Amino acid sequence: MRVGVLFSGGKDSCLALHKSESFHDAVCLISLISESEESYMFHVPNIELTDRQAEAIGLPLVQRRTEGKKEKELEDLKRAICSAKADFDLEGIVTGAVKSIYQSTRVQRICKQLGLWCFNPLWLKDEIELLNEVVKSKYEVIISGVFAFPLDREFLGKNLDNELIQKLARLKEEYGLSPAGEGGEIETTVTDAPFFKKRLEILDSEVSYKDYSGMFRIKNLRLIDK
Amino acid sequence: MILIVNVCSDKLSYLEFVKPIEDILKKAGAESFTRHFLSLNHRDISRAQKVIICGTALKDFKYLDSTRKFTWINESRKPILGICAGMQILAKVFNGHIIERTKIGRYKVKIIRKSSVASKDEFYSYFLNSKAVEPTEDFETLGESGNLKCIIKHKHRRFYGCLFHPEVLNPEIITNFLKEPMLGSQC
Repeated sequence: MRVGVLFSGGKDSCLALHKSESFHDAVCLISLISESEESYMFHVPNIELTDRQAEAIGLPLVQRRTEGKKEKELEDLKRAICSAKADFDLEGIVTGAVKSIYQSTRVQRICKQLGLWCFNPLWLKDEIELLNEVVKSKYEVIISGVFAFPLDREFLGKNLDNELIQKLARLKEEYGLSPAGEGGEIETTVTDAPFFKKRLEILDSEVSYKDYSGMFRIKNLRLIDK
Repeated sequence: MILIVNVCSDKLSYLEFVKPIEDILKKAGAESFTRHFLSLNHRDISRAQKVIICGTALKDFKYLDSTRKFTWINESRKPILGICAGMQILAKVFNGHIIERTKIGRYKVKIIRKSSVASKDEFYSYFLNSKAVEPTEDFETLGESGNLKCIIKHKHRRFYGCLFHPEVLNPEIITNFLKEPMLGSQC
């Protein structure tokens, strides 16, 4: 089956893409760039880099902008999926949804309206298991956003590794923090993975942080052959 | 030993509709094994003390074309929990009607009759169905959501059908089902 993958450039959408490739032909990535920080679905740090990540992966990207207003962005998402369906002859959509009923409900409804299969291969996956799988599979993942207590500035730009997973697991025990950031507490950017044909090398970045909320923005990068 | 029946026609859907059930059972300390309904045999069914028939993707209806593969349910006295597609299969095996009804998202369930699997008066559940059931009089309705029968039970056997996906918001329904008396202490 020819599928398109909803792609934010973070660990979940990359892992969902990776899993879907075992059974289907992933023929394009679909990204929405939200202009609103209040976006319920699409506001993530470094989303503007999805075109470079798509180039590194070697898949075409359907990229659309949305104002990011609550239900309007869903119409924009539907238009993006509709356009991808027509251009790439899609039969299904793959998402990296893990726990968000808000997101999965809306994507499922759009797929139903458009006559597409909807696949959520990470659905209800244990978060620590998910992080371990990402590290074991040799993904290069950096923390590109923190949005909850007690996540401090030190997390921003850090690579996801076993030590960081242990730290996040402790924070889950102590503070009830979602270790994989499924409530939007943590955002990630993937710079390399086994299915990337090239890796991303970060040349310039900046950190903004205040009151347990911050971002690691990649300002410049280049693609390196592997 | 719990038999988990996978009805997904697409292998990728296993991760979404079957693996979460396996995980809940594992966390509850229950031993289980999973079989696809097309490869299920008498030995598998004999080995199981209880059966959970999982759901599948919204566009997947192959299970409805293959209900002859589920005739073993007619003979069974083992507790069975059918989730979404599984509920449709249970109803269809007993000559119930499958109706077109789409419900996607989080909705309130009202309990009409309390049972060992669902005892709260009302709760929210995650629905993902494009079909529902009108079961025969072999079943009683335990719960409704809007005008949909969303929890049913066979009147004489421990067969439960759940139209929503309890693995998402109501895992206690699955763990309560695990406490149902084993084969031999019933019927």
